[in-house]
Amino acid sequence: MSEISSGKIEIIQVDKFYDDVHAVRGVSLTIPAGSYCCLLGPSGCGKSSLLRMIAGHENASAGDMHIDGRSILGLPARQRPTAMMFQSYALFPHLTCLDNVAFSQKMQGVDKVTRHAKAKDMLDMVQMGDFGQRLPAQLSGGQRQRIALARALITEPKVLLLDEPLSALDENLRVLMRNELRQMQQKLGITFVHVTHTNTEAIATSDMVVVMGDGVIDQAGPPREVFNHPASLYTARFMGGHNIVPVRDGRLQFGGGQTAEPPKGDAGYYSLRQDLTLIEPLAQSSHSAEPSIEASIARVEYEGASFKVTLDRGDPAPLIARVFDRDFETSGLTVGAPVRLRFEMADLCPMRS
Amino acid sequence: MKQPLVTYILGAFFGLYVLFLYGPMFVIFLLSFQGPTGGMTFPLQGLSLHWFKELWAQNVSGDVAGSFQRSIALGLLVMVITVGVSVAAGFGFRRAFPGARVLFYVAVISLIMPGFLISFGLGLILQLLGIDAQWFTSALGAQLTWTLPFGLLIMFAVLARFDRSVEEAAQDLGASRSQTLRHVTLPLLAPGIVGVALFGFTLSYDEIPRTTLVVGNSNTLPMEVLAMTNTLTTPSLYAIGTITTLVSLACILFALVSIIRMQRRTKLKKA
Amino acid sequence: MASFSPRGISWLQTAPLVVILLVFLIAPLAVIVMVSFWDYSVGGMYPDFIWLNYEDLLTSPTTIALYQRTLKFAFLVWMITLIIGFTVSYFLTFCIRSTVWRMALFLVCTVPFWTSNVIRMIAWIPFLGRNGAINQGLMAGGVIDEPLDFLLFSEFSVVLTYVHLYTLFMIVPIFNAMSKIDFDIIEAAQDAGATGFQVLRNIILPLTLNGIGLGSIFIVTLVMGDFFIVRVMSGSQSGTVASGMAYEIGGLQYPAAAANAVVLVAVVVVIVSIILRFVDVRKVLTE
Repeated sequence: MSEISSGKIEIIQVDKFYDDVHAVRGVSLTIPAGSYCCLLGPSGCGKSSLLRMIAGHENASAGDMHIDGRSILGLPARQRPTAMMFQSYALFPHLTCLDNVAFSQKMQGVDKVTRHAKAKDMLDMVQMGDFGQRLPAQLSGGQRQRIALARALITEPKVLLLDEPLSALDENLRVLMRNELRQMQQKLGITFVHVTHTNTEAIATSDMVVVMGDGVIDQAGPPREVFNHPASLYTARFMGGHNIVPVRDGRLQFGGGQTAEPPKGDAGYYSLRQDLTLIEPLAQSSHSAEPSIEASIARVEYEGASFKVTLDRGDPAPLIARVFDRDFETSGLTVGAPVRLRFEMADLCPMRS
Repeated sequence: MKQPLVTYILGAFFGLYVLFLYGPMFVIFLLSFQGPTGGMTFPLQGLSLHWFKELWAQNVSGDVAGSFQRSIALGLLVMVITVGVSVAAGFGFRRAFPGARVLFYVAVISLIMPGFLISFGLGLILQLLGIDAQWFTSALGAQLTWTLPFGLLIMFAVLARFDRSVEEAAQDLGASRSQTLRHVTLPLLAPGIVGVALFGFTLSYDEIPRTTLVVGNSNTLPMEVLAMTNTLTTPSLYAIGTITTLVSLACILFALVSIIRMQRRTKLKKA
Repeated sequence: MASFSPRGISWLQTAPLVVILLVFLIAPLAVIVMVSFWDYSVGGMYPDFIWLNYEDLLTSPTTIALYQRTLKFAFLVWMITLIIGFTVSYFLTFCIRSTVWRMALFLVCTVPFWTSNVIRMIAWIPFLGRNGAINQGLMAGGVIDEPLDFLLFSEFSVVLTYVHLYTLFMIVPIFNAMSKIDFDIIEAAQDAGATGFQVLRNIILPLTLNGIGLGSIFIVTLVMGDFFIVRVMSGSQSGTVASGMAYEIGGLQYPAAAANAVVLVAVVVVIVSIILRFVDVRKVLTE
């Protein structure tokens, strides 16, 4: 797919202070050329600051940044090989879509015919060829986003920076657009850095998920790895879909005094995917299962394809099992029913606290 | 949720207020077309342009034509300076800087300080320094203490609504600072700047309290009219009123039409 | 190209404003204070440091009378413009549903601001005079037999003109504050069982207080600083502090007028600071 890959980003020990607030704390990160990287975290975690520092709209307080081996520190935004797509899209409201897309060419002094022809090609690429003479005010949210994308890509950047690009769209459009962004990235072969606070968006689009919290990187890796093997309590909670099993006195604690031998290692917590946490009616289950953990059903919520079954184990932090809806219906289980847990010890992942 | 009765009562109140606001103006508008034999009150003795012709023929005491020209010239001068200084200062206030708070409060004081005192103080300075007052120097400066705070407040309002990410986008797309200013910032601020210009011109064109003691030997139009209220006892006084009000209305109309046209182009509807 | 620090750029950008305000606002006010301590005679004024001008001023019965009248005007005009301003703003904000109509009607209220005050002032003369429209109308209708004399060249016509010219300064800030009120808040108050009057008293009034404060400051300073409306519209029969000052200036008694000005500003400052105790005007002006 991608023939030439460029746009390798190296972030080296970068700090950012806003007055007394330490927004980004000694972050180091290497984003491979031609990859789709998602910076994921709640608002205020420093992900947007990091993005704006790569773009050149903020200056790093300390540290260094390289793109393709060349330091970009101190370069103004317009001299960096990056282009940014803003959360608000920041389209120029007084210019037509065509002139919005042609803006960077005009700044370089490209003549009108040439720049309009090139802008028209870009509009065609984002399927907005018929909208060149419209003003941004006359477009829908999704259409504005396409114009913003075309306007950013016409500069032929090595890196495209996307600041919460899907947050202004409704749910269906969001799923559609995240696919298009992914396809666009694969077609162009440049690096995309996409900031989001939605875990599903990050997993669906990226080659690399960077989970951030409180100004530091908590975990970075391919989406399957980050989702299946959260390295910390923070990431497990943020990604969602995990049960958290603490270790106390050298034993896994399942609540109500039920414990089990942990896998090798000295982790303080283990994660267990909720959809790999199985349950069966206590009466039908054999005692031989190991570990043998019993519980009763406290709550059941229907979620469409599955049921979210919350288990009461006489412990403050409940365990959750996600059960395929037909399996749950045939099992005849209801609230209050006693059940036994079934899971593979190999699915337990060690985490730092 | 709305009680119609209350709405009607308030609507009637509003109507009466508008009548109160415009009624007298309308009356002098009518009376300025008084017939040649008519006086300064009703009834109308026919309709004519007689009293405008009297003005034109300079048959009234006072320098109406000259003061009218001076007022227009001074208004334009004040307008240009007000736009330049307020826009620059508005940009300055976009960043925090030492002294910003003090400067803001001084501008507010300038807005609410009785204008007559500024005129008096400035007149004293001129007297002590032995400088002659002139409409295009001392009166100009005095009027700026009235128009600049308005200009500054309008710029605050305009810049507060301005989405700075479009400037960042422009720089991202390779625009230099001056290109960003020329192609993005100024076009988007244009409606607000027209508003500042409107305030600059019309406030100067009608100004009295700050001008009164520092205008020098050649009066501005409102000063001349004020002096005439005692001496001019024909409907020509109303004719001046009609002309000067039409000038003001033309400015307002021109400004409003340009602002609305510009905003219609650029206003982003909610997606 | 020389490069400046961001704060340096801000200083550069605000420098023209600073210079103009220093020369044409601060310096004149400073000179007034200075001259208020000078001595004067028929021949001119002389640098000195005497309190005599203040003593003369504060012990003169005329001063008390002028201040009484000025404060009476200020209070009357404040009250009337507040009632009109609040009612008109309420009507525009809450009774007019269409935004276009609301802005159009608001504009109708503000257009006279950009037209001449003198002209709007003299426009009352053919209305109020002995042979004016009102007297003619009332006599034709048989309501009165003799023309009413109090209509023109009286304190009535002075207050009327003030209200006519200045109500706008009350409407704009109140309307501005009211239009920022979220309609959901009012509906929430109604859901909570508030009557129309309770909504007005507990929701709308507190949320428009800053606008009322700003409008009140404008009204007080405008009325107390006026020197020509009171002269023309009272037929030179009534005077306020500022018009008294204007007479002193006409008589070349500059130091006396300067002392008068200083005391006037002091009184205005006291009134404005009382208003500022209740409202945050900075918030209104910058948001």
